[in-house]
Amino acid sequence: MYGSPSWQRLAPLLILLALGAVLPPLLPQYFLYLGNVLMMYAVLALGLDLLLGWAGQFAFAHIAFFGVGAYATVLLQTRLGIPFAAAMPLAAILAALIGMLIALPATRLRAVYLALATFAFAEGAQWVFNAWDRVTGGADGLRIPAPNLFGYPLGTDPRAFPVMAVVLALVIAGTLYLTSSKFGRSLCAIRDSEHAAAASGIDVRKTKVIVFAISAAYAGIAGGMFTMYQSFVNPETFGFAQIVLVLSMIVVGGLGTLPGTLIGVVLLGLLPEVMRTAMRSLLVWQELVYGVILILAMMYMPRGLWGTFFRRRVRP
Amino acid sequence: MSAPLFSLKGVSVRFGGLQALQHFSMDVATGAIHALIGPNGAGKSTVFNCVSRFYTPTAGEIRFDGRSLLEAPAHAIAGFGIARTFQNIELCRSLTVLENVLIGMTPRIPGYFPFAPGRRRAAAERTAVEEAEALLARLGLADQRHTPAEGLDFGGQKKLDLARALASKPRLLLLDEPAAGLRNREITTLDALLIDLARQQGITIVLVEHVMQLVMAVADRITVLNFGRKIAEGTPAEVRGDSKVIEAYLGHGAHA
Repeated sequence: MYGSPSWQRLAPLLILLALGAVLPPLLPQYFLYLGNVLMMYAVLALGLDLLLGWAGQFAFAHIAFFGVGAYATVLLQTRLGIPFAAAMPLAAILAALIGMLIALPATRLRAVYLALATFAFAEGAQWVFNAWDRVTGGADGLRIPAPNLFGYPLGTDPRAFPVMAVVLALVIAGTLYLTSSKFGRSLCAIRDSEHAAAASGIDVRKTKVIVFAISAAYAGIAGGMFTMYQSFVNPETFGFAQIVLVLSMIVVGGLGTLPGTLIGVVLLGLLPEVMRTAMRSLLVWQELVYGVILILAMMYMPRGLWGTFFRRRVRP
Repeated sequence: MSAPLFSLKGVSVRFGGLQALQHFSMDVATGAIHALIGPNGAGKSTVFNCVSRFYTPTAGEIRFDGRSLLEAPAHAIAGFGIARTFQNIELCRSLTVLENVLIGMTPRIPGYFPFAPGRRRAAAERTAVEEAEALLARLGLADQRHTPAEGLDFGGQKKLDLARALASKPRLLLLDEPAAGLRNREITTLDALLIDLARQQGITIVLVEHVMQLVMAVADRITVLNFGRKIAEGTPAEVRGDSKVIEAYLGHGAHA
């Protein structure tokens, strides 16, 4: 249960790495593109789940940190000439630092006030992406130069795919490590009862600030992943629809569960593609469809797919 | 008499127009079971919430083992050796019984943050789980250790609230109505448990309780609160005969 993640729990990660290495020559480019999209969303969703599913903080600034990660990864390379291998972690650290700054006032708020304040921050960040022409390219966006990872050029779907798999595997391993510890328990304690948590010696405020920062770092990493296979970034990528999509993923999959989050990512991540190909007429209703799915999931399946169909299994 | 382990001096708490506690003082001796009683709304839970640092008194001082608690943040209190239960049971509902007890052990599990080497952390967790299981066995919750807390019946949740508090190995235990809603047989078990905790393990207990059967059976000393003021204090025999206490509970003119 708690302690170091066991080998059985790490086995799926080895499979993920193997698939990352083997699949690119075998699959058509479109499927590799889908795989990249899903892997990026997985990191984004795992980060939001730490904050929302584990710690119970209804904060929606996540998408802004995703944007910070993407823009910073690109700009650190183009403006400062920092190599990609350093630019991506630096962008994640920048996202974490901003996350921490937001958390200091935000953790004094609760429930709907926290949701509103963080939503306002996300809108503000999008405004900055739009208005800060000289840096972000404004509404026209930025061209993303193909990143170069120690001499291995990324920027196309087949080339990005194995690297995306490595990043996702590291993020999942990190999530297992974080959640299978006193820290993971502290998050749940804060979610369920802040009074019990504080009386048990958990520093509620500090833990919230830390989980905000970690969650923002995940979003920053996802932003970096975005630049690995996309060639263009503009503020629209970080709009309201995205946060609804990521939120739907973790709610449908099952809040506070790692496998549930990944299931939700696959199901809802494929939905826009299905709609674009098979149900073209529905495409304009995309956001409405997510909204309906989110509401139905909350009403009829509050524990999510994972929580409903695989009741918490107990590992001795 | 040596200095009390735990004392409140002149503590006042005001919520808007309500004076919840008025210049309240109380000394608790090491190893004692000290009951704090009084009608609903008398300010009993307010005392606990001040000790937990959920409320900050407008005046007064709270000391434990020579240390002023009002200078410490809420999360530091458990580390000093003070644990509490809650009147309306505060559990981590979705977590298992065992996990709830592990949360209670937080101050004793080393390395606050996760960046501890895996193997050392795993060993610390294993020891903690063993201890938690022993504690659950003692309270009769061993069979339900993997049940989510919300799946326990009321008596079970009360026990778990207590187990969580005991998990920190406190020197001072604050119990907020541990007997409320329990069946007679369960109260008898609780009697024996409290006496064992105080006499065998030397845990000092402050007990807020309405169930007089329990208070009279276990308390060494009783403090009576009414409308935020102390109206009586003494041994159970002294308090039982006090006319102000009878009046507070039964109303004016109710002398037996």
